Amino acid sequence: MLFLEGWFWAFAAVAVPVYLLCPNALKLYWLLLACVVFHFHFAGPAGMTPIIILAILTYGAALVSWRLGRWSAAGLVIVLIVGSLTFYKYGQFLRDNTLMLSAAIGVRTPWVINAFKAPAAPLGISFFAFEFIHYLYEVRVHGRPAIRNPFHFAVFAIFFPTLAAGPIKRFPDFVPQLVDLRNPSTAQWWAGIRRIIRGLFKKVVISELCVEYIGIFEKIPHRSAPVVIALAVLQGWRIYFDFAGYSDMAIGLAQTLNFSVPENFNRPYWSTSLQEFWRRWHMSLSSWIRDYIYIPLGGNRVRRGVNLLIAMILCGLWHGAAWNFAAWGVYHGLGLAVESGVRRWSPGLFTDSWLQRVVGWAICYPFVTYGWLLFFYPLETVAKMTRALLVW
Amino acid sequence: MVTGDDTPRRADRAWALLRRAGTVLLYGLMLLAVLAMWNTQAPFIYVAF
Repeated sequence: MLFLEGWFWAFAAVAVPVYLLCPNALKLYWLLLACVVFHFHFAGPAGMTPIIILAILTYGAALVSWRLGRWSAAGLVIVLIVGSLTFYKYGQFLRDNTLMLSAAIGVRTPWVINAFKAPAAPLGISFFAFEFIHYLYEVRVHGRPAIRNPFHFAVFAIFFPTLAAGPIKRFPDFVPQLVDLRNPSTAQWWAGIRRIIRGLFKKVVISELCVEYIGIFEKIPHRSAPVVIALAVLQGWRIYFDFAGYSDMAIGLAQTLNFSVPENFNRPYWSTSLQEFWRRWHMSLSSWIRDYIYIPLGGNRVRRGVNLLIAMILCGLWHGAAWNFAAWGVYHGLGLAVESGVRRWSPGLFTDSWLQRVVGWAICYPFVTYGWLLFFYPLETVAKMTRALLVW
Repeated sequence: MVTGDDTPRRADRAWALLRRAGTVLLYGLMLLAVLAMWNTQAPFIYVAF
């Protein structure tokens, strides 16, 4: 998919060298053209149209808010973006659950709900939505200057290395890089190529090996505790190497064009607390959740536990429209809330001594690993697996 | 004071060369493994995000 397709490599073999050979003054336009071709190829006109509409509205609303001081424009477009994300990504899920609930309580549902069929979600809509919301929020709430150059905004919106699955960019870090486009040094370029190779290795070799072994363990009819533990560990490695591999490719590709985009992973499985895990796992998403959900909800100041729970449920649902993702979010939210309570009442438990770090890791890693069962399997299957874990 | 002994510099150069050769070998092997296991059907699981 995408980075593994022959078309992508043919595209990159043209897009990157031509970008490097382009005079500096033309690089921006070539880059934009390459981004449009990439987006069109993978998303098609139906996938591009909603994104283009949202991008134009975001660009205009930010300018209006910033220049004229009309804050409602940015707020309105944020609501529209959230609405579009809900419609495309959660429409079918909400409809199915409404029908199930109405059948359970014996209420007739309007024909509109019965007939509703959500269209396929545009490629990368979750990432577009989060980047646009971040941009509008920064302009509206923090008073950052809006992007005036439409070409700069367009490249920020559909930058092809990060278009499909992040890392989620921040415009104050990204847009200044567009002002003076230059080629990377030879060392930087090779570093980017090495990063791409490492990413391919993580994805194509390690993650796929994990998938093979998961298939073997899933075929075992009697899922005893050791089988469940093996499945949980392998799923944890699979998602890490898959996603970290993708992120390496995206970051490396950006590096070959002399762009720096946010990191996504920092050895998360070495974390010694859940809080540390979320500072090291999918960092561009977790920092987004912190800045645009957790802190606006009140952060550490009020109802810390509730805020953590809400933020993590939304984080879980962001990964997909299914109850197991919500359960995964609740699980991590509760874990973080409990850890935060323990931190408050016994700060001495979280020091940097090696013993406490070992104990912390021995609690955190199994906690996170069990969570992958919730992430990957339906809730009924997880219930059976949990029973197997409790009865050896 | 000038000494004619350039042994440390030669050792540095040899070490740098060795490191470069090791890097090329390592990345070459990684690429070989990738090509051997290449599977375009393998989805990136988080595309569902």
